[in-house]
Amino acid sequence: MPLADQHAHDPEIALRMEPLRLALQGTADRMQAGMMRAAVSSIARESGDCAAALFLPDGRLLAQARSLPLLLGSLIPAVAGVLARFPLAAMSEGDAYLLNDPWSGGTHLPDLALVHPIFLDGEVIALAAANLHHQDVGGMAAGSIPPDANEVYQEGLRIPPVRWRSADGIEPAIDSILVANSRMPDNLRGDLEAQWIALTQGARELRQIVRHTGSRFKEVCDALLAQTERMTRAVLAAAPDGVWSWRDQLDGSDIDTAPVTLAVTLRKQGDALVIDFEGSAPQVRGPLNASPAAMLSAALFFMRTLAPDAPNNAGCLAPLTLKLPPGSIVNPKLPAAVNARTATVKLACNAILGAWSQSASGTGVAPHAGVATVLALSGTRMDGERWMFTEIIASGAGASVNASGRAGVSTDVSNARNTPLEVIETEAPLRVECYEIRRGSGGGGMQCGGDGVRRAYRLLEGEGWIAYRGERHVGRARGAQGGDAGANSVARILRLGGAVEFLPARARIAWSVGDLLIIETAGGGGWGSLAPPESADPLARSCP
Amino acid sequence: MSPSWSLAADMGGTFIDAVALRNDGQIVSLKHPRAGGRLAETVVEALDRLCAQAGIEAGDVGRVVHGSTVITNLLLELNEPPVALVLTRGMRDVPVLARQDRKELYEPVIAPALPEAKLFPGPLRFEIRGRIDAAGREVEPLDLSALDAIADAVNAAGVRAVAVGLLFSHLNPNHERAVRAALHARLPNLYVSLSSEVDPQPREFERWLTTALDAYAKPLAADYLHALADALAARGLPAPRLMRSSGGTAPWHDLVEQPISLAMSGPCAALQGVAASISTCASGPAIVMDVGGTSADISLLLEDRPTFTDALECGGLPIRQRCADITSIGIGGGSVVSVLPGGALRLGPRSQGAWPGPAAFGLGGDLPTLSDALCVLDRLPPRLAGGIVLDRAAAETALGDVAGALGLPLPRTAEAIVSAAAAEMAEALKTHAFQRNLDPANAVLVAIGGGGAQHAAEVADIAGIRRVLVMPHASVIAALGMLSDPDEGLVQLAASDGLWDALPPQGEGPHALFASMTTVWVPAGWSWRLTPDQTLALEAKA
Repeated sequence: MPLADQHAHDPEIALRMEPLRLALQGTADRMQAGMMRAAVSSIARESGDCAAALFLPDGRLLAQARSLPLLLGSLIPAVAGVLARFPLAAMSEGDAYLLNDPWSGGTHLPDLALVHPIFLDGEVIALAAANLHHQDVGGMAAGSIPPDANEVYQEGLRIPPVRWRSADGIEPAIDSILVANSRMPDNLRGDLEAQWIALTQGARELRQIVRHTGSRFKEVCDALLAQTERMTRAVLAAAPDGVWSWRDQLDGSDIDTAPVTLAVTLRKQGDALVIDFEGSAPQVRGPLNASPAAMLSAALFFMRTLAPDAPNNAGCLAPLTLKLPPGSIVNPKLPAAVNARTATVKLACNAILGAWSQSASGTGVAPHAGVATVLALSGTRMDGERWMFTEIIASGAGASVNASGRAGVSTDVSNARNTPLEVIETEAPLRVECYEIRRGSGGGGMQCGGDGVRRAYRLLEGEGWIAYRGERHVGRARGAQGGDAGANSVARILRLGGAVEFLPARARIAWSVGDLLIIETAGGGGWGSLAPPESADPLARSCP
Repeated sequence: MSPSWSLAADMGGTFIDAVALRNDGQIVSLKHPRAGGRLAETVVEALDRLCAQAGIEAGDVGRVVHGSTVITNLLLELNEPPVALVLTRGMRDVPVLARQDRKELYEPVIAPALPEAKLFPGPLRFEIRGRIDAAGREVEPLDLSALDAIADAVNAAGVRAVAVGLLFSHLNPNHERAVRAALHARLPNLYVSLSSEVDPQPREFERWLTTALDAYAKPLAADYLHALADALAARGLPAPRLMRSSGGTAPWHDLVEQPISLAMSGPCAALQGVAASISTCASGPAIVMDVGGTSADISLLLEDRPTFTDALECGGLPIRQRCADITSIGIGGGSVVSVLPGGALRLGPRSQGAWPGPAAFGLGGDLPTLSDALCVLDRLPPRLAGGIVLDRAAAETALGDVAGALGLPLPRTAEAIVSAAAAEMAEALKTHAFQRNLDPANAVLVAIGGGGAQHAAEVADIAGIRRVLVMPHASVIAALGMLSDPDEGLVQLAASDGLWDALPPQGEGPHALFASMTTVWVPAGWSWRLTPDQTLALEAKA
């Protein structure tokens, strides 16, 4: 019996496990809440594009906030990147380390990760970590997510792990480089400070937790990791062994015009799982490449879904071997551009779900449409005043054996909220003419895929620009177990004069007063084939 | 002679607490068991019993105040018939799409945002043409002609209540009012809630959902409050006032118009009761923890005053109403203990509540609960308030499977359960305090409710709090709070003698203290003493 399993039957350890799990979860959540309250940029403050977690000194994930899976998984390689450069023995009380380099554990350059060692009685007892999507870290375009980048050097300042702060305060040299490279230095400093607030909150609470848990804190932590591993392996062991593959594709863009293939194979044997992205497209010229740190978010998301009730720690990764072929879109070589990795990570996540849905475990879901349409509208009013706003529009969820998919919901690694129509109309000269379920867009089957949504915006004044970043204009979310694919995304402008213009998956286009922009997001995959008429199953039905 | 008594009745899940307060501060109280599904009748029975016991005549009574969990429970259970919605054209799915985010990040199957079929199924969501803009100007006239068909459909479906939600009605309510007038012209008995009246603030989803829930509660609230007012009038008692979620009381017919403002009636009353009682004994901020059979409520008193917020959640549904700022978690004495595959101990969210209750209550419940663990650890008296005699053997039997799954002896299993309960409460407490910029270590913890004092010191230990106060009258504090309406002029409560008579005035833990309506646990490392104002103070040793 492994040591940590024996711990579970040692009353002194067992008694402390559930209280410690709750305390670590609560602390991580309060780090997240503190960071969001203190953040300067609305993308972190309102949309929660940031994440916080606690780690053991050896870099194993101990607990993570219930926030954004897209960023949560990426903190694991970030901490590893810091530990590779700054071993524990080199750390001092009051230190914090910074990085964003995709080849040292980072995702894309605007996500700055900060790691802080927590000391008690002269010893590192844990690490607190937080990352946050910053407004601007330099590069060829404001916002540091240039759609036409073809090298990471165009995307902004690349930061390998460096000491950002010591007990004496922020390192002036590092601060001056950061400030000199950002178009919005005040936001950058303010949001880094918000991350620091999260880390100090975590440190303060963790010291109280260790004092309360007592001398066997480390053993209780190990027991919690072992418990998660045991719960995850039990789910894998209960499913039949097998090999399942899934292929999907990203829509092309201006740079890489052809669809980009993502392929994944799951090999499940006993209580272990291999997720292998062999067969995925070579890295592309444009910014759709996803670094290993970004891809770990997709893998961690899936592993967490196997035993969602388990403690929120690295134990769920123990049964996993993740294979990311070097030089491919999921493990690109320097100097690939990586800023648009979100679409790739989301599709990868849904490809894993698709592969798993073929297993007879019965726990799967059909792929979600997985589209988080990013719509940025801007323009000039008649009085010359400029306006702009950005929102994220969700699509349909995949069906499962017992339930149809939910319509218009953030899925997989995202969890963005919509923007209230009354907020849009207050901030911009627009009238939203509908926000409704796009009925019939979910894939058919025994259970229907979730429908996408339809939003329509009429421009009331002057001229404006539409920046649209969609997905699944070409590809569709396939169904599972014989279910149908969901409908494609469609975006179009009805010009005042009556002409109709369809938008590609990524577009920047002008519009003027009276024009109507209609966005329809894709549907999720259906589950199970409809029975043929001669053996009509009363449960089988066509989707609305 | 002017009326000298005020009466209050607080309807909880298990009991109705009835309190009479004379204007010299004298208090008489009793707990009356709730029976079956009857609502107004039981309240009146409790008041009848109280008046008979204390010799109070109808003519002696100046006011009757009522606080109720009826609306809270209605929103938790959602057993009422669905309502119809009339919404701006193009927007009939807004209440279903909600804010497009999901609650459980890692559940493979994503749950709906809310139970659409129970609240407002698709065929009952109607649209109407007409727009108000962001400046409150009409930019498209209201299409009143559509309302005939809507009224026909509502009538044919047998719907008793309709919610009206139109964009920007909080800036210009004219369209919503016109819709109501037209509906009433056709269906005079229809209950109608307007979003411009229930929650006149921007952001349509939250406003419309709150309005829909208000309409959902209206038929039952109206029947219940009319019955109560009629019964009191028949006895010559004053018309009832109702305790609102936002503090203070209002005439009962106001709450017929807007029952959603009763959603946190009881918890707010309890907080008001603590605020009225604590004024002389606490310095600095206080965190109030109210633990009952199904939930634990946590809130702050700053400068002895309750704190308020503009949003609450009830049964997972967001409700935007002014309300006492209370975090409620589903952990109480009836919380069911389970062990997940893999050996993980969990408490709740399922609760045995008061019925069938913990196994130790001997009422037919056989699932292991928090109270069963307390019983096994000898932290409960043999006989509880309300007359329940505890069955320790039943508690041990119920916990047997848990102990087996954990591989622990029974007493250690019970300890693990009670520690997990304290941890759940402590985490909710820390989150509530830190998010309001208060380090809990700088506060005193005030324990109320049947279970508050049972867990308070252990919760305090986790959160770094050094001092716990257990209020006299802790078990009927909500009913007392209803009579402490700041607008009505404060009556200083007289501390009644005899409350803690059975207790030694001071001592050291570990020790269980049993008073008439409260049980207290003093852990090792803590001491207790009775203060002159009849508060029981627990203190951590340095």
